[in-house]
Amino acid sequence: MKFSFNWLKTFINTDLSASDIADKLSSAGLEVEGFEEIGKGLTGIVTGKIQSIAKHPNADRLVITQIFDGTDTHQIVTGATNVFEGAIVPASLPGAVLADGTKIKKGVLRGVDSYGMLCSEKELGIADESHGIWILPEDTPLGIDFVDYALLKDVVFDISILPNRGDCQSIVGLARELSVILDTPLSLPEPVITESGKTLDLTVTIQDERCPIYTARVIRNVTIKPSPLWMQRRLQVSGIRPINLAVDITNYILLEWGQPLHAFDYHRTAGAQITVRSAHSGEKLTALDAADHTLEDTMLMICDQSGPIAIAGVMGGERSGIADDTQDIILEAAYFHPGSVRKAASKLGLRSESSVRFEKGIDIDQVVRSANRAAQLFQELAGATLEPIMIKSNPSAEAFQKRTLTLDPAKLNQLLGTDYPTQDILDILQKLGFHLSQDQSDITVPSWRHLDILGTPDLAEEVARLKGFDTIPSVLPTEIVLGTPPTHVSKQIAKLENFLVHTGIMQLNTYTMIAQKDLQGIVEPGPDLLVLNNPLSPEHAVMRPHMLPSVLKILAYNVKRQADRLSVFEVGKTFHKAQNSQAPLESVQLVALITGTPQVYFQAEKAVNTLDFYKLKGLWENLADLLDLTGYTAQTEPAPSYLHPVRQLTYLLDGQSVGEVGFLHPELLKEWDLGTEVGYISLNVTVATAKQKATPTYTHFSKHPSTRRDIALLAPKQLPYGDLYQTLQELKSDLVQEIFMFDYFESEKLGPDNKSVAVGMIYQATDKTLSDEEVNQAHETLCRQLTERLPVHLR
Amino acid sequence: MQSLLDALHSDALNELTSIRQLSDLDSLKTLYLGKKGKLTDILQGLGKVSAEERPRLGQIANTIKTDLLTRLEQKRDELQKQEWAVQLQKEAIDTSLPAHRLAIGKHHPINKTIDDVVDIFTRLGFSVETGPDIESDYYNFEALNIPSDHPARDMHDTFYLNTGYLLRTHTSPVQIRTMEVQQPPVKIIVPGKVYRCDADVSHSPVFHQVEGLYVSKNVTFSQLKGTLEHFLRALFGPEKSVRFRPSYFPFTEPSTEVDVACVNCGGNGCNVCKHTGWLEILGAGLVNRNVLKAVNLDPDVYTGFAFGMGIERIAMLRYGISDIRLFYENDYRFLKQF
Repeated sequence: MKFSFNWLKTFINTDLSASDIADKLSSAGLEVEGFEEIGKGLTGIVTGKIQSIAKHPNADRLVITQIFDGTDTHQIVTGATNVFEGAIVPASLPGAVLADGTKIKKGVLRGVDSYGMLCSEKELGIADESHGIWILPEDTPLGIDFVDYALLKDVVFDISILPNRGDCQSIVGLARELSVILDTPLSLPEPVITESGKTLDLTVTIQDERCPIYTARVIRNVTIKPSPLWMQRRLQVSGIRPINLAVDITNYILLEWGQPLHAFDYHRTAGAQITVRSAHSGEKLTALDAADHTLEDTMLMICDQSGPIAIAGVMGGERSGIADDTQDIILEAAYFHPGSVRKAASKLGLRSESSVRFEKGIDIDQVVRSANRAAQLFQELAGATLEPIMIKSNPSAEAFQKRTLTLDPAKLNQLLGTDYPTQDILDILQKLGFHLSQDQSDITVPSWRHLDILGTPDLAEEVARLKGFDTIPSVLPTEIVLGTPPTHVSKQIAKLENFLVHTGIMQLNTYTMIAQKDLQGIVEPGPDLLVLNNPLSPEHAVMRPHMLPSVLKILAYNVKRQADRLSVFEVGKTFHKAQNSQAPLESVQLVALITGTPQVYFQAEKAVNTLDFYKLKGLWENLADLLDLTGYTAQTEPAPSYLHPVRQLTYLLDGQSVGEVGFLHPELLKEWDLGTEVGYISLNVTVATAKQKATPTYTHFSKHPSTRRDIALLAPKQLPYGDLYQTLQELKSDLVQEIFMFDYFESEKLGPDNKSVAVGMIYQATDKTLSDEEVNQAHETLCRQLTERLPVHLR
Repeated sequence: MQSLLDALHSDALNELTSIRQLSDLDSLKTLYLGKKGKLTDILQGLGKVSAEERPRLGQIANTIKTDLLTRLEQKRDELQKQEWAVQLQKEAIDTSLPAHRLAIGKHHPINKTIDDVVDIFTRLGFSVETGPDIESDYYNFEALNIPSDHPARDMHDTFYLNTGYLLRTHTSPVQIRTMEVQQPPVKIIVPGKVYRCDADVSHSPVFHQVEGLYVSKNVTFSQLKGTLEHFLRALFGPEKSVRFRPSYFPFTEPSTEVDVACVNCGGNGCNVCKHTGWLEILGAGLVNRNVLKAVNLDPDVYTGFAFGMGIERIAMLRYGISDIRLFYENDYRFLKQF
């Protein structure tokens, strides 16, 4: 909210500088976002009437004007085209300074003397753009100091009003706050009005409890004309465009008192009957924004005989609005329920200066006073006749009830950890407008803080902010609270992340929302996809059901920027709509993409330093080891759609997929414009960490020497090593401690359908040293059974 | 005979000096000291000398033998060393060729900053808790004293899902979730992703917060001040000035915003701090009574403090990053710097 320092100073006296005021407001909890000193250097501007305009002898685009300031006449040459004889204009005479610092001197323009300059609004620092000279109202006095008269010098503060300080959304409210902060008196003059007798009919009926007070006054013989310059200026610096006197007065009171008002054209208000009621569902209203609004039955409306004429507290209707021919008006001043105004305004998408004030709560005790202050201005400035105000209210409404709280200085101090003297506490609260009971045990909240001050913590805040938060001591809690160790899952995630980073893989952090198109080839969007109702862009419109699109996008982004040998990973959340329960399912998935191995330069190393499937598989199994994962199995079918169909594996744990390893499908690579092959590892962290592994129990190991026996096999190429290994596991005697492959090759000599596999076996007993005979016997049995079971031959 | 021995000694020494190879050394040894060597030859004539002369000459011969053996061994060592040197010289490599290092892996600066922040609090006895990113209106707003028609909802531009759920706008729902299942004292620190419909150089629709909550008996605002001052000085340096300003949050009362002296200019005023000398880092306050009531705690018995901070902002200040979007572009050239 913007407010004028000059305007504020009409209610309190202060010599403090703008930056001091800003500091004081900030430390008391009103956040000043900045302030602007306007018209800072302006001086020497006077008003004058253009008596005559003559052609310039030497220039077609210039004219010679004679300006009369009430005493003297000054010849000024101007290039402006909007000037006319009789117009009153601001003039800068020699010695004057304009807003941009330009000093005015006597000059000669194409051979004609010019004693100064006629000014535009831009030159006087009150507009960014202006068209021609500023033509002033006809009743502007001549020869006056225009800088003072037009309030050209001011400081405009920009302050952000937090939701609990509705009372500060006005000049009066801020002045009241500052008077407490600065400990300086506040003067709020009581409006003086003269009411005539009642001549025009008007009825007001309230049919909804969301309006505890509604006042209306008929104001007759209003002349619709521009408002005086000072009023226009105050509206302008506050960010409101002047329109006409009637509208400007309502805005002026809104800014000064924080009380939104509305003016209806009396003769366009059917039957002069005002009813405050809820809208009928489907009712329509064309509002002052010229748009047709369909109303809902939760909305509070102001209606006349023929239907809605305003959305209460939000915006008036076009039909009953003030027009150029308006003579008599009905001026509304009311209190509407904050939540109700907020709901209507946000449903209709109509946030107005009025609605933001009602939403945060206005001062119900100032409704009538504000109405009177407006009436006073209508009387003084528009020469209007005031009929008596009509007040309808419900004194038993909650908004009218005074809130009385128990005042317990000890409890207040305990909450803050302070020892403020009781007298200081009482003084501060009383200055803020709280009313203390006789025995000082109860305190009544001022009407303007009704919505905000509900209990001791609120009172504590009031005292603390005016004492200054720096007066509260700083101590560390002394209570010992036993911390719980990090949860199993977060600890395991940290382990995985550290391991991968130390392996040379870069950690990513991406948005959890992705573009639906990025799922193509990865996950078929199904009914369990979570979609955002109000995405900022299609790029981030669905909650990712899989980590791959997020990680792949970053990989592609970097490859496009010529990064090579990239390895990236992220452990992140994935999201699915739940089938039975309502709450969506979140699980944690790790995806790593690997496009290369570290750079080497020797030919021999290049040959072995390649990204192959078994390195990826090794990395996955390393991760499984890290999590103490055992008992997982691998399957090759079905292949995930995004992986190379015959270079991938899915790992299962208790029948559930716990991870995958392989190369990305070439078709997917093509879609993402990736030239190189990309290794892929995924781990379903939620599944992998579901079972917490028990602390291991020590198993005795044999101290007797072991014996190794090897088998060299010629096997059909189609026979997977996994089958061979499994068979050996099944057939082996208890003496075999370990089975491992140590050589593998295919060659022309073996033929296209064969391969050579060499497997080593470690024989060892726990209770004795095995004799050669014992080992030979067991090994021969194993070899024989193996060749019987599988189509393999010993070489 | 002595002259024969002396001649043999000097001949042998002369030949030894000129030897260049280990194999020649062995032949030399055989030639002079072998069973059929020159020394043996001379000593065969020992029988012809007088019995008085014999021991003296024998001793001279022995001394010569010992001397030659010692010198032969010295020569052997010398030659062996030379041979190693020649051999190893052939194995010379260019040690200035580039190193074979593992690829560079780095933690993401946001994750790193979260870890550092959380560490400071766990040392103060806070336990880490987490919660879902997708929340209900109840946990994100209602239970935190933000009813549906409350103007404070304007402080949260919320993303809604097709299921009626929403993306949490802060990590505060975890306060409620924790207090629902855990009796005081509750002392938790909550890192996580949060979401707001807002995007520019200093706002990202997805960002990270760390939330803290301490609820027990007799928790005070002055303890909140002490805890946060400790934290900010642990993070930004022990001399950092810290300022508490009154503010408003629906879930705390009294509420405060906490500033630290600008990390860029030290408090003199610059572009980073918008010429105020201060940087807003944290929002905090005493837990609102309505929040305690929402989890069935008696606000007359229990009090608490809560605080929250944006991790991106802290990371931007720490690393001198001016555009928040860099964190989520995940450009390799950016990531490898941390």
